[in-house]
Amino acid sequence: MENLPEDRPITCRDTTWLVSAARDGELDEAGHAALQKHIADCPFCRDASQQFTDLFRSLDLLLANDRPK
Amino acid sequence: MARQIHEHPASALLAEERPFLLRLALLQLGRRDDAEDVVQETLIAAVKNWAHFAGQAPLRAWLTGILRHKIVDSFRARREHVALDIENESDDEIEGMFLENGSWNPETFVSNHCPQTMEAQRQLLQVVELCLNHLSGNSARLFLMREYLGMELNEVASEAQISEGNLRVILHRARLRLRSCVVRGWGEC
Repeated sequence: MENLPEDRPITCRDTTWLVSAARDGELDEAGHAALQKHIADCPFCRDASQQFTDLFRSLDLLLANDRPK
Repeated sequence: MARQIHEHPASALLAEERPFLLRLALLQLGRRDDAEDVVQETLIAAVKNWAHFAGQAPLRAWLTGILRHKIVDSFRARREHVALDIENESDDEIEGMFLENGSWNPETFVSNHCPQTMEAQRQLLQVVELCLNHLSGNSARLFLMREYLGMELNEVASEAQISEGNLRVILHRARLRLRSCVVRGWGEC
């Protein structure tokens, strides 16, 4: 993932970029690690992350997607 | 050709799915005539290949898969790229989701989760479909090129004549807006 901030911890807003990048198959290991670390410490992002997971699963069902992204 | 559909034993089932297919095609193609055409082609293909539909997947999913191919064919047939005007979308909704320090805004954050019952899942799909229709026309088209047609980012960017960076911003905003819309709907599941 490009543009992960190097001078500060990532914010909740940053995590939504990482979630979107992950959906497009563009998140590297460092991005995944940063996302998981933030989610572990942030109850809002834990909720949001689960909501995104449920949303993406529903989108795949609605749009009859059966291929990995 | 239309007679083939009307006279088919499954015509009532197909007619039931037509509005969903038309909404999806219209979101993707943006032009009603084109959307009507690909849906008609989809239903004709379904009638011709009905014997191959073993009922293992829901009818809607089978038709949605056929429609995907018809839409891709329609894009290829056009052979022209359509530059999209994406500059006029308001960021107010997204800005309201976060505080200045980048944290979620507790006043606007919705923590609903969708119940896991079958009925709730069915309603959830309806909520997601409704929310898709609330995306702006151009965002919806780009979003569905990626999420429905499965086009790579560089292909979508090229089709829309925008940079990949811009496309990532648009997809990110579309996903944020969808989440925001859908979680409010989950409160009704």
